[in-house]
Amino acid sequence: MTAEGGDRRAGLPARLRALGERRRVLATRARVLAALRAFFDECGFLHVETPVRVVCPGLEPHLVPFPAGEGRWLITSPELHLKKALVALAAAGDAPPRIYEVARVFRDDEGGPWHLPEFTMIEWYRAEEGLEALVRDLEELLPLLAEAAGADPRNASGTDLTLPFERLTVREAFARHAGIDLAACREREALAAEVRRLGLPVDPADTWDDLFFRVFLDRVEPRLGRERATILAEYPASQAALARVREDPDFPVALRFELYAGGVELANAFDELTDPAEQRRRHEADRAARRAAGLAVPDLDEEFLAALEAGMPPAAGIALGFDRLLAVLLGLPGARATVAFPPDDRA
Amino acid sequence: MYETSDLRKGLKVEIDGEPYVIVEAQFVKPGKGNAFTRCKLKSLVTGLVIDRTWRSGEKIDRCNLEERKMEFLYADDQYHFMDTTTYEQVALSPDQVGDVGQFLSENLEVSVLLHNGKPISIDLPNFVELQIVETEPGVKGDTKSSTTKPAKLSTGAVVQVPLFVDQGEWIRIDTRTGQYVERVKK
Repeated sequence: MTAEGGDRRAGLPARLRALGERRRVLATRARVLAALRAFFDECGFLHVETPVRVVCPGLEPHLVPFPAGEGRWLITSPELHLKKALVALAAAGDAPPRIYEVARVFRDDEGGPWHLPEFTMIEWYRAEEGLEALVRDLEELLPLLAEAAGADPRNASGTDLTLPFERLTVREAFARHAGIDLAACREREALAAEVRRLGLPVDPADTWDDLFFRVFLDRVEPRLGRERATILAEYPASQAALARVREDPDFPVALRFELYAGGVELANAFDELTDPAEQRRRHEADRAARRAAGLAVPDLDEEFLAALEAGMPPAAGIALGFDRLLAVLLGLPGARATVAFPPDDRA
Repeated sequence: MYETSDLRKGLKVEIDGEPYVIVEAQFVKPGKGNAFTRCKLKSLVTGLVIDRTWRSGEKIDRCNLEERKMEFLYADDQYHFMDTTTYEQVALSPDQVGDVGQFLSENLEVSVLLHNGKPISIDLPNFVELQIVETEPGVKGDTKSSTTKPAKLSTGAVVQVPLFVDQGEWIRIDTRTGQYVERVKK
């Protein structure tokens, strides 16, 4: 650093001065990303780059995509194109494909220290394998990335990543942390009564899922991924998104899990839905929900549905929030602190 | 009504008819659900802090608050204030006034916070000047030592003052800390 360095810094806009002060975090970020790519490359995953500007950015009613010109949107996840690639590679023969992408994804209308309107998502798929294979990937990958970050894998924001992950179903978690048997509360009124019993507010417009999340956010989530990482599995079927559903007569569940570490949700995994008719039905239901809520209604991705018609192999897929993971590994107070250019309104 | 996107630190809202100020607001969004805003709020009446979570789309009541300059009149089992332009009088309980009540002197101008026309709290100026009515004799010239002694003020409050300060003198008090600042000439 020359003597002039100080003077040149003084003239910089605040955000750029902060970038310079974060240079060690940025160097760590680059190292962790290189280690992550090496892990997947060595495990036989093909890195596939998918388009960012698409016809169908994902249809879940709670996501707000950014418009990108007539009939086009920025992706909220690379899911549909990665699945198309998985189907195409499986059809081309060879071994069951494994693919991944280091993707930049975009979600409007999200704020706070743990949400960025554009962030880095690591998404990977294993054909002919189930959710267990993804848990094994995570148990291997996370300590390895902590090492790459020069951080202590036994203390990632208080979580020991070297211990076997805690396994918990959503139903078990509600029983343990909120004293609620979800199977006995499948009607809205029954769940509303339990929410009131806990002293939490109930709004007349709350859906069953909203009531579920009131309890989840207040009583359950704060207790996940503390001493050890938690795999929270088997969500209510209404929250299946693009996962398969197990039709248990007691309590049908979506074959999904989320990973928690350092008290933060880091990843979301699906035993992937491969049934084209059911997939079309869910997409249309999401579009109807979007229309009813006055949200933009993107077109269906017919190429994706055609790929499922042709035959998608059974597969497990997962999306990991890279910025959040880095923050947890380094003990930083949010995802914003891990990027070179945290968003502001002007630039 | 406020939207959940309006919720941020410092905003005053009304819950079940009671005024609160937000001390912490956090946006939370589950993977497959609606967004929520999780807040810690402090009651402007009792000072108690509560947690409250609102779903995106819920409406939150605004708070009809008004701040008025009033003069302190006197205290019995309550503290009495008057708006000197309208001559309207209000009374607050010792709990509502809090520790700063001991620094209220006659005709002191304070700011009274009213909710739906009912007084709920007061704000004193950061500094007030009060006369010492009782303390041990001053030690002349001792402006260096950090030793202090108790001094009783005209309002009944007792504060720690340096040894050189004498009975009958006026001093300036920081009402936010309740501490002596300096002597003032009157």
